[in-house]
Amino acid sequence: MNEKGFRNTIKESYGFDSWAGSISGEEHEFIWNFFMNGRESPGWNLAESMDYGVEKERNMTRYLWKKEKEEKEKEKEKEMLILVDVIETPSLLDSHEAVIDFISECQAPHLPEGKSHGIDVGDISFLSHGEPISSILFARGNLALSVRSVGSVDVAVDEFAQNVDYYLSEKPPPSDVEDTPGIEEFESECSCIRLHEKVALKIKVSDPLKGRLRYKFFSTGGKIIREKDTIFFYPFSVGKHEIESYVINEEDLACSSVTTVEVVP
Amino acid sequence: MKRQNPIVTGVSAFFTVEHNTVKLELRIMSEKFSEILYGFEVLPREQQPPWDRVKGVEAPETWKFREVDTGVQFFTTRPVTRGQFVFTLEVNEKVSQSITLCLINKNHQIIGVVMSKKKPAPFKIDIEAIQFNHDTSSLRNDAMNIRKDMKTEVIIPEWKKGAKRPEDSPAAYALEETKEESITIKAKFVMTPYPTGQFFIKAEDGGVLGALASRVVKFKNGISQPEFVSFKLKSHTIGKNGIQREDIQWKWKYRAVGEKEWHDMRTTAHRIYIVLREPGEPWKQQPFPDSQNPWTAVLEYACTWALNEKDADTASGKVTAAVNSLPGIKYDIVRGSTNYAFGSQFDLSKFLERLEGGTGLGEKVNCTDCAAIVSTFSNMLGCSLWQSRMGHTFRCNKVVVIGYTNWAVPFDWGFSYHEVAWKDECAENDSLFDACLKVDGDNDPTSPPHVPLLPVDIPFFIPGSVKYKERLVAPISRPYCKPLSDTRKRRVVR
Repeated sequence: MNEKGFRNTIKESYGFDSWAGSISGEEHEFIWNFFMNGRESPGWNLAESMDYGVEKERNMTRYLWKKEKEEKEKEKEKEMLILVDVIETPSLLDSHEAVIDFISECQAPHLPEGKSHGIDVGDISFLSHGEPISSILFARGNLALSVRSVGSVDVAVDEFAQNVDYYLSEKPPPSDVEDTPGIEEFESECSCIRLHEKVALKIKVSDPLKGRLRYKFFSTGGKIIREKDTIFFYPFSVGKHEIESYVINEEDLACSSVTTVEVVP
Repeated sequence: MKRQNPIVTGVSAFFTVEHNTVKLELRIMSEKFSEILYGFEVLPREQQPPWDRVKGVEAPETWKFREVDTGVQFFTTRPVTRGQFVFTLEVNEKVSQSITLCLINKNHQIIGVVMSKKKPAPFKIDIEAIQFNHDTSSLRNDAMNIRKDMKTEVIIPEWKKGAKRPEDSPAAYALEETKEESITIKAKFVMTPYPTGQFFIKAEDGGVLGALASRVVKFKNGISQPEFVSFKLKSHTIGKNGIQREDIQWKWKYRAVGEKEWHDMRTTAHRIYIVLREPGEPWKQQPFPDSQNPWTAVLEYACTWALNEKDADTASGKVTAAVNSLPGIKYDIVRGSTNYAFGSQFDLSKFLERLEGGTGLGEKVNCTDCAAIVSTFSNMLGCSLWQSRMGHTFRCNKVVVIGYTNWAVPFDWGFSYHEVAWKDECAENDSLFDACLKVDGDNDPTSPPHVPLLPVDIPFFIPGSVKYKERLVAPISRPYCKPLSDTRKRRVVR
């Protein structure tokens, strides 16, 4: 048996077909150029970001978080560390495949699903065995995340994961301060397409800080995918569909825009 | 008209000049001055060509000096007897090949002159650089291609003047490839103040690399010819004690051709690693430089763990045992998740950071991490292990996982997969090394008493005997746990 065969058995035992491509809410979300900036979970410091590069259109980044110093001192120098692995994939389905990849690297025979234990994180989630919950795997939109305690003190990560998930899924309020990035153009390549066709979304932004920007796209009428460096909208139904875009800088200053695509039979 | 003073015999003088400082050596060789000589003067007007000024700086014990006119007078209160005296003067102009000294009597009257002669400056030879890896296309006759870690290269020449610590000058040799070969190092020398000449140069001590026999080195324009001169390691002991990590020093010496006396040049310090053979993958010799060239940061641990071992399997066993007993890492008992290895990569830099007492990626590891660590460190020594899986989804006997001391069934059931450092085809009858857990080593691994056995060089399965599979896998799952040989890989390091 090779790795593909092993993955297939993992998929089967985790009922992959029953949840692959599904979302927890009504709205499809796509995140592009994701990065953590240290504000995601209060009480924790982002100690290090490690870029593991792109493999098969997936970009993997690891983030090591340390409990804030005061708390650490109370723990008498014991390590309280959370390691967050984020795989940014080109599509919702691919992020679920990445969850399988995470599971394939776990020796524990069957990780419990989050919802069965009352943990509502991401579109799909799996937990570690036992208490506290020191490890959560989940997918949100096109991102697959592994959040786990890796220090000498086992810490519960459910609250941390929920904070991160909120950060991923929230629609940030627009900022009106000077350094806020701006969306100069956001529109589809064609304003009217046929059902089952995809259309490229063009977005042009300005950034006074000239730093890193991350993007979020939301739509109820279809999914959003990335092919190489182009973002596409893929409608599910006929009608007029709105697509919202958000551009957020490293300071969490955000702007947004909406475009409409008409889908005909 | 200039007064002519008589030339005195029985007194001689020599001097050297360095910058503006003149060291003057006065030798009284005859008793005939015992009652009349009380000192001497150095007068600018008596010099050829005349100086503007000269100042006294230092006089020998019982001597004094003072300014006279624009010159200096060195004197004693008692008559000078036989002996040798050194004086220091400051002259702010070019000094020719001689300095005129005017000898004085008790009344400080000039009684004669002595012409002090300039001494030839002593030659000096020094070592500038040493190349251990002087042929990056081969490791048969020199050291192999190495780097310090992911980010830092080892620059050739590995030793340069100024380097003091042995770890600043590392070199690694492959025992198998250098066996019965002529190994050389190359060194560059400089000579001052003369541009040409030839000298014998040798180096004493040298530890495992041995002393370097003397050879003639020619100099042109003050630099050795050729610039890097070869020295054969004729008395090395590479191979005698297997794997080594040794700090050595060479005491470099030189002597002029035709002379007997050896002069000290300099002592150089180096850290030498000896491995069994060319490191196996992920380590590569080519291309060079490259991030996958062997890292000294790994050699440091691997050679220490397997010190003196001469056999690959025994060396891998030592590495396995060392990894299993490492402080600061523990099995991830809640998920069994891979931490330092991921996909096709092994974050060796972060693991080394952890080994050094830093945070790294935390303390949690699983079997994949352990397999990556054991094979990567063993292969550095010239072993040839893979990281390969078995499985899938099988129940286990009680084991002791890394970082713990209690016997328990992992996850109260077993593993979805298990990964080890494995030999050859990673097939059933191939031996493996597992630093992740200890199995029960007695005849009945399914029940107490449990005798801890670290799986080292043990076949996965041999029909009719109790091998790794029987010790790890519960009887009910044995039919389902097989080598997943297609998963074998050697993760690249980063």
